[in-house]
Amino acid sequence: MIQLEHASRWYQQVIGINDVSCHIQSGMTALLGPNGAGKSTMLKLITGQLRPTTGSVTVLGEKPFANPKVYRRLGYCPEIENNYDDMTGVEFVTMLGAMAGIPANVLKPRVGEVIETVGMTVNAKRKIGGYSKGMRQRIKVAQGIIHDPDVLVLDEPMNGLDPVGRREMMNVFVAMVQKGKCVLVSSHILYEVEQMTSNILLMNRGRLMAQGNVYQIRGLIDKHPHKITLTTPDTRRLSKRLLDFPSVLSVRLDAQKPDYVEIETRDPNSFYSSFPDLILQEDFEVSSFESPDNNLEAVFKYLIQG
Amino acid sequence: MSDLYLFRAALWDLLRPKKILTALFLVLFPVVFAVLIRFNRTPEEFNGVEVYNNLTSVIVFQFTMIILALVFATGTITQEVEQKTIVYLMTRPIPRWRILLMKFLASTLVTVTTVWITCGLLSLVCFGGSRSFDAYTLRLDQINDQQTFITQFKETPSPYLLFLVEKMPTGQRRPFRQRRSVETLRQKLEKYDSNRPPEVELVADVIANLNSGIRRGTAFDKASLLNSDISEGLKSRIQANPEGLEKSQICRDALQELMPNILEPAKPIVNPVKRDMAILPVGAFTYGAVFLLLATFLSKPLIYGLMFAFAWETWVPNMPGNFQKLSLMSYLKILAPHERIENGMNPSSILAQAAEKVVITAPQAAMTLALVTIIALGAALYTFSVREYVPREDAS
Repeated sequence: MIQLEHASRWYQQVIGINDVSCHIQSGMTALLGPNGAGKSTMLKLITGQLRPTTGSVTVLGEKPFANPKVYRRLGYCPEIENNYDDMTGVEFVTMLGAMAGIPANVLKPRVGEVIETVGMTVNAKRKIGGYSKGMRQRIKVAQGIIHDPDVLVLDEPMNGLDPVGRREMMNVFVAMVQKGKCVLVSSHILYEVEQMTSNILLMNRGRLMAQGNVYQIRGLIDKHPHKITLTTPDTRRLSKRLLDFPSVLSVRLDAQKPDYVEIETRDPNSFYSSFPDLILQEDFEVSSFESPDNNLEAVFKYLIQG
Repeated sequence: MSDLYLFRAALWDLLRPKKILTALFLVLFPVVFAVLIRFNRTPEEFNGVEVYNNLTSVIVFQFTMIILALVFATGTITQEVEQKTIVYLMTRPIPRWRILLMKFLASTLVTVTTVWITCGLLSLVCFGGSRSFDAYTLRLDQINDQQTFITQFKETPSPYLLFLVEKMPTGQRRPFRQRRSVETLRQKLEKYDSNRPPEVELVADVIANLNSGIRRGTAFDKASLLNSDISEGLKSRIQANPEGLEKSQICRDALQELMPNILEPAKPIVNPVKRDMAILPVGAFTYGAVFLLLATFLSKPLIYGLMFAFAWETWVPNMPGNFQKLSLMSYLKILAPHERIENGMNPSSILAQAAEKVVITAPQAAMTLALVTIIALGAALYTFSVREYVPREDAS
């Protein structure tokens, strides 16, 4: 469905992606790499916002740049946080749905359907300007799937989502895959995509480093402790509970930032599966949840050296 | 349907409170000015056409319309690029040129509506519902034969023309300088010998004096007019005891009837409000298209647009000769001329206006503006269709 043949893209003297060739079929594929690896450039080439400097990019058999034929069957959820802040969620999805060519008579029910799918029914009539980061992610996904595309491209869709939100969004993407669609998700967090797919494209410094099964990569990752940071008003109580997790190696608080917690784990997979249950059961308020990619950098170093 | 949604969304964005407030300020600025002028002058002193023409020409045409076209047209692209929301538009199954066109039409609609409201309110303040427009001034180029004009004016048996000659040196209430010029004029007129061509300055002086008389109502003399060789229709208008602007109109009509081969007929009176309402959208469209083109390929179109609008477009129309052909405002001014009434009362202005050669005709102006609009809009739509709009720093 998506094909890159020796695709390269430079920004004047700076290279975005360098000689990338790959073939992405239906099902879910994760594009993994640290910040600055060229993931967004590759997605912008696939979604036709950029042209390759050399090589070629084809999506559904067509060159995607400014090509309405491709956009009829392609949905895109960009990384940007800005949306039309003066619109409500419903207005935003309706406008982009109408522009995607959905007939007027089915537009309204379809908007309601996708808003429900992404879990935004309650907040849909509020202005986007007042949305949290997680709500913005959800509404962005809604506009990406409104026209039921065959190819869905998502740039860091899990950023800013709480663990429950991540799980819900994952279910949305999995449902798309089950309908035979092609879903391409970029992320800089291996454990995030690992739960969605085993099929990954690994990028670093503009090059496609590896393509294939996630488990080999995971093996490498496990050798390095994995850092997670979160903010909560209840730092001490949550820290105590986190130390009960066998997978957690350490928990660090910061005197400068009273609601900040940094967790180090050797088994992120087990941590990510137990953490949402702890939050829900004991009603902790978690306002942000991040996983810095230092550990992934370490793996890339390992791969490059190896 | 997608185009309609795009248009509506663009319109909705332009109608946000902050933008409406800016537009409201631009609307009220000349209107408040006009109100202040109206209340600071006596009804006799206040000339609606003069105030309307001055404010419309200087503020509405040369400022409000241009600034709105600049801000709204460039905003259609720059706002989306700066907020990075352009990505949503670029990945819709609509040709890019149609996206831009819909947004441009919405921005132009808002610009046109704002300047229309301004003109409407200005006309209310300046004309107060009256339908008369005082445009009865003579100019040097409206005299076909200067020699006959002066001879007839000096020696005519018409009681009205004789009355005007008599009236000429008696401007007692005028300031000293003007009174002296009237005395000089009278002396010149007395010394005038019909065997040689009249001095151009003399003709300009007579015209200026006539215009002054027509404007101030001193040239209206019922008895002389009724005794003169004028049509029955005009006589019945005189007997109806006219007031204000009608007096000026009768004076001009009487002059034309008394000197039919010398004075060119007055141009049909154009309602300046209707004319401006028709020409302002042309200006908004043309300027908007040019600014839109700037926005498609420049990262800071507002700065270049401001330089073009308030440096180039201010200086170039005032340059002599063919230079003015390089400015869009010159063409708009041909389509919507805002003549200054007081110029018809000043001999040097009359001479200057007569010396001005018409370098652009109205059809040429209309054609040029249409051509510029088509080329600029076409180039903008093309550039938008082929150019990448992803900020460099956005790439990872």
